[in-house]
Amino acid sequence: MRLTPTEQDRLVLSTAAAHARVALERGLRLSAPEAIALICDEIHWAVRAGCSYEQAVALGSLVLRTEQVLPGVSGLLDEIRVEPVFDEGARLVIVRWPLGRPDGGTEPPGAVLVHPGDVPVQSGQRRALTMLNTSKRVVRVSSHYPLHLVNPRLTFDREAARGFRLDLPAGDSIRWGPNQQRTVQVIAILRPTAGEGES
Amino acid sequence: MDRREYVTRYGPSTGDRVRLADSNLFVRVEADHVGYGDEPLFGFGKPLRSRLLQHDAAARASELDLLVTGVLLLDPLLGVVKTNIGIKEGRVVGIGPVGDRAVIGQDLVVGPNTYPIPAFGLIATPGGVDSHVHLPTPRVVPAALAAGMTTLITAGFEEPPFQMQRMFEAFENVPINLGLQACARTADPSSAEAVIEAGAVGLKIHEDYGAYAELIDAALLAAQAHDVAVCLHTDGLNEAAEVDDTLAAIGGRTVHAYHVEGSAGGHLPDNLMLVTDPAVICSSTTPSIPYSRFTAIEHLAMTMAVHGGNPDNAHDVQAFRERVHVATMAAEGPLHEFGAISIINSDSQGVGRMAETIRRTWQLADAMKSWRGSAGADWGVDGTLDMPHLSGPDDNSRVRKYLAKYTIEPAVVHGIANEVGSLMPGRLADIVLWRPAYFGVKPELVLKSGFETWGPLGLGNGSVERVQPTAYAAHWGGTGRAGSQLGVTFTSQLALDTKFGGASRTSRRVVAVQGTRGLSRNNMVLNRAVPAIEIDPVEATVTLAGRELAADAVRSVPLNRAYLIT
Repeated sequence: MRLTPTEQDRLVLSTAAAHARVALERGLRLSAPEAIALICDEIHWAVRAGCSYEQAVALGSLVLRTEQVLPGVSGLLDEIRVEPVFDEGARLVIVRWPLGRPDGGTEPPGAVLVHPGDVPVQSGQRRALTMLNTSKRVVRVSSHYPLHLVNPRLTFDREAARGFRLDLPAGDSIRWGPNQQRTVQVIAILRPTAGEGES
Repeated sequence: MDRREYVTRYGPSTGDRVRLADSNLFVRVEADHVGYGDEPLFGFGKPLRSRLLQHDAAARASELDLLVTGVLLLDPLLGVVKTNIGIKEGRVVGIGPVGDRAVIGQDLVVGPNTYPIPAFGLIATPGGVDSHVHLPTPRVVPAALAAGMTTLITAGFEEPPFQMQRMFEAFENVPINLGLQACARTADPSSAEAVIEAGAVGLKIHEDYGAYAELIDAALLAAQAHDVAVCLHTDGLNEAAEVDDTLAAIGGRTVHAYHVEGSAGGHLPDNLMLVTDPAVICSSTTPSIPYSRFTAIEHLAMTMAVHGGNPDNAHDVQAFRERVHVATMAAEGPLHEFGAISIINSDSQGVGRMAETIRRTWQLADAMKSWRGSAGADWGVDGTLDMPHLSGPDDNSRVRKYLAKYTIEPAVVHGIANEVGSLMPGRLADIVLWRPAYFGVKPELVLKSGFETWGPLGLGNGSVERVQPTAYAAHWGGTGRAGSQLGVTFTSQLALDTKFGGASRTSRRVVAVQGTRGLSRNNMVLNRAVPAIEIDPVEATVTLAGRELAADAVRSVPLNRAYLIT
């Protein structure tokens, strides 16, 4: 057979899925690993039988119903990554919340019970800045990039922007289309070490 | 920003509560060090880059090797805090925001050579310290690592010195901290000296080799001379000593009493009276907690199987049946809740399960929260009656107390608390990351000395990580020689000084245990109660302040079937 590690891992899914089917035949509800194995196995077989990528993703949410898994298990199934082999070769299929995302009214395993209100706004000097994208391409600027160093095709008062960044949540960005002008809120960079090492 | 939105992006923050797995335990975030607005996310368009939160000009001496970002830290010493964990040369060196404002320890300088481990939304705990491990098979080790255990203290049976040397060699590349104890089987001091020189971090008294008063005394004298621990499995026959005699032999000197409840071995039926002596630091093993429907019946089968009982011999069946006493089993959980029993360990393969020390601890904490909600509310926090227990809005104090039982408390007893048991800066970066939904059952990643060592790894041919089937396996820290640079070997000072009596060629770091003598339960961090229980010598009923101390048997536990293929 010359089984590769990948094929052997496929057989692990087969075995675990067969185990899950026995549980269901016996009227028993599935654990998280059993449910994951069954979903992956069904996707593998459907792809082998010729289903499309989109069908494979959709199938992931149709294999099981909440009442077929143990209490709490649907909240453990947040994302399943599986690589079935299509006629064109292996593709990564990601199924998110195959049994539905737990709603705010329940407390699934690991739930965060959010304290009401807002988190404090970061303190720091703020100002508005008007920035024009003179590029032919889309330009995005992320939250913590030092503004005076951004793409030179964005035109604005760079000296006024020295020591500032976009006033966005960490990791967010603002998009400028070609020739688009935006007036944005900027905030003084707090981190004393940030921006050092620039040329 | 609305807090719900914030949690989605960056995980829980101050005031938010997190449910631990499918248990009824909820922790409340006590503080957030990360810094609103400057969360060090890593990735496409994220702030942890050159010119941004990365300090490009950081001097090599100050920049971190590793940064665990935005994690909810649960630690017996530090509490429940959202923070970043800075790691350098295998140790935690600071916690706090990125930059020059560390809350504890060194500043978290993220330089161009700092490797980020994104952990927003995850929980971090110290790696577990299992202080009662038997190693009849190497298969114990992957079970331990896959469960979040990073330090193993054995319970003896690796002696004589020849066997101890082979065990040290076997562990050379294993990414786990190891301390071997040796059984003390004679009052002749030269025997104890030999095993301590061979590396033993403690002496174990075990009834199967004799647990007589003079053996206890001799072991304590040798331990005193060499600063090693003494662990105690007492005389279950009451053949040479009853519990009062054992306490007299101990004479106020520090011992660690294993499976103090007694059904796994010890004075019949009142071994649990050891909790009344502050010099005795007590532990429980996995099968008896939480007390549940089949705890007693399993103990009969288990103890016979491990202690040389013959199920076809009516005499053995009768003797073993008498070892199991339900009344003390029912009292064991409440004594944990009070902090009178300080430690939980596995007793792996010696009547206990390696991979369940952590899981059983949280199942017990969950069961005791329920008990407090009913019968247990009458007693105060430490078992005294002057201030009845009132449940609070969160379980932080309970969670810290139970977490301590498999981290800092055993580390203190075995003289290794400078290295392990907490993520307080200065200690080894033995860190277990958990998704809250899988907390206590299946870790997300085990870092050993700040290196990725064990975890649920996906398909080797996968286009990304974590393609199914994922299975617990060695990460790079468990591959090649890496383990020899990540795992610490604990020994006696004598073994360190003599290079294990001249027998060692290890490349592992060897650390002598210290401070094991002169401890009392008051040296425990969060489990230091000494309640004046009484035990009926026939029925084994446990009473405290004149009232029976017993929790009902539970019928099901969290952190169990929903997570497992069974």
